[in-house]
Amino acid sequence: METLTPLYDTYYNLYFGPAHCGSGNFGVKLRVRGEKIIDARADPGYLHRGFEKLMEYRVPIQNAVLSDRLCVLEPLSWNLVHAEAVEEIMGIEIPERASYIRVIMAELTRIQSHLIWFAAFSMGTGFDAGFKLAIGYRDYILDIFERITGARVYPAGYICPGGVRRDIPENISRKILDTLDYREEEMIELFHDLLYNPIIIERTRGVGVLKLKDAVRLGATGPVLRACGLKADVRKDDPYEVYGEFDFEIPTGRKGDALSRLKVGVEEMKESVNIVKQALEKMPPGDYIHPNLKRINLWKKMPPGESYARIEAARGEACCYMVSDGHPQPYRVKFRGPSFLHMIPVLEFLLKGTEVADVPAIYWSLNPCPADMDR
Amino acid sequence: MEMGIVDRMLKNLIKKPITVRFPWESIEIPEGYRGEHVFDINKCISCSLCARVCPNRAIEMVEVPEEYRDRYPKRYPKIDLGKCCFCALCQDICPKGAIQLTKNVYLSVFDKNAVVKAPLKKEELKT
Amino acid sequence: MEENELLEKILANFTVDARVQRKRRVWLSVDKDNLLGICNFVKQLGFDHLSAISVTDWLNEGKFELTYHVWSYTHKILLTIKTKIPRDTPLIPSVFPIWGESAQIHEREMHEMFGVKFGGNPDLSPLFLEDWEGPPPFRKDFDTRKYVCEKYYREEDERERVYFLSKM
Repeated sequence: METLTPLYDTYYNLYFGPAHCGSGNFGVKLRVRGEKIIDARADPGYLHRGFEKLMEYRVPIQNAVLSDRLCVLEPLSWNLVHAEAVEEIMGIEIPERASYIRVIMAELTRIQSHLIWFAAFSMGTGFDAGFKLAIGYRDYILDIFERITGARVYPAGYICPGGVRRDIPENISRKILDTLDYREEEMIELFHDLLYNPIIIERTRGVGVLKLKDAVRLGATGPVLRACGLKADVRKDDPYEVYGEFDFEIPTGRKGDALSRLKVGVEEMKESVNIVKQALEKMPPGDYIHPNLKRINLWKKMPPGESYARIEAARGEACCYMVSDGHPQPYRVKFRGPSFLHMIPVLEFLLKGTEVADVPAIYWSLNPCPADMDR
Repeated sequence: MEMGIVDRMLKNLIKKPITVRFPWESIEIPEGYRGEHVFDINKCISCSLCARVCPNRAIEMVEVPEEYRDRYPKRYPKIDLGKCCFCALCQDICPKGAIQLTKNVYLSVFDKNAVVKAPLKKEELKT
Repeated sequence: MEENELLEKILANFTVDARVQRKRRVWLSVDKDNLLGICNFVKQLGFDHLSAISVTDWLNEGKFELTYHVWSYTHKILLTIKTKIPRDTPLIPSVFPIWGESAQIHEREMHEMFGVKFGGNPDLSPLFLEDWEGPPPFRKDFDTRKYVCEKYYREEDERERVYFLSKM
């Protein structure tokens, strides 16, 4: 059979862009020859709001309300990292009941964030039914948030410096256990089945392989790093709050491709359900906030010092570096978002040499969030 | 061949849907939800702490119209619901409990200037 | 390795200012000329995850303070290295040869927001802002509230009047 020889070598620029239904508020400029990608360059900045400068004009209780708009998909995690940084500078210890409430909220946020991850992945690869089911099941967790914090998505600084803003209502423990037993177990079984579907396996096995040496050099953390084989999790290596008292496993993968990352996500959801059940049994009675910080005081000075708080958010390692020089407002705040490293160096490295049809599978398996990349 | 997904899809054809048909039916809103503000001018002492704590500067202290100024001589908060993020810090900081957040969430309007809530409404002065 | 052992190893080879803040947190202050030597030594000890690079603008002293936060998966300690450079000529060699692309992207963001030049970084083009002509925006002598009031808001408008008052 004769093959056609090209008249001249040409490439064109393809913009997998921000107004595209296959990606969030983030664009990637691809240089393509035929079906093969030669070069990829990330184009961030569509959601840059300048949080680090906004927080220099406000006191910590106002910053707690502002910090949940850092990422709309997991606002309680960012509340937690800001509150831990402020408490370490002020040098206060929070009551034990407040710490157990914080752990329950953080794990419920992890479950609903992974449900959005699977919804977006299903939408990107064309499986629309998975998208609708995942968003529907996420609503039952938002109902729990509505009863505890006062709103479904934005909890308005529920986890504030000193503890939490209000106590949990009386019969909420029964409602959380019912939701987790009847609804979320069904959902987790559904996504377990999804991963054994032949079409999804063909689209994700061996695609977007990241080796361990490259992963650490490029700055990957969270499920992306655990799928490459390293057992690293901030909840076990650098424990914060009362995570030291719970008994849970860290799931890891072996191959580092897109299918391993999704499998790690499903196992993490099961472990989170386990942690919430243990925390509800062990919760002690007591205060929900430190007594000095119960009344809002707009002129309370922060002592001079600095601190670096790290937590394990749903997407990876989220950190906050805070410097204070004696005024009520902080002098400098810096946030490190996990998606900042996943969407610029890791994505550009993984997209070189693959085909255009693999781009959605690789992009959504990294769990990208443009909001905590740009801040 | 694994038929796990297709099995579930067929079962979903017979089950009840997860959503409700708004606006003919709606779900119940629980207590403690952060909705529209309600301001009682007889409790306010004009300390202006609510204007200082608001993170978005949605509260401005203004004077009431001329006719009522002998009964209410000081400045009172005017709340701009377009800038408000419904965080309830003004409710927590008020020393007399003059601002409270209710469960009303149906706040869409057609007129852009109708979102600003003045401190005094004419109906309140009948008593 | 415990935190005190780590301090002893570093103090044996370099003269730095070091303290242990609490469990798993060690803070060092070094001179600008020793920075690359200490970073190489610390990478050999097993600190291979660079968590963040940040810049603080001390306007009164006239200096920028750079902080490098590194974590080790084997020893489970977070080490922070701080240096100070003069504010008028902010030049420092880049740590891209030591920690790779994660250092390069953090330095690109700090160059855009503060104006610090990193020698040896392959790509320092603007990251977030497009068509920005003014000074680097996160410095302390750039007042964002005054800039926004002059450019976007009008004092006569009833709803925008509140931004011109000087309260919090």
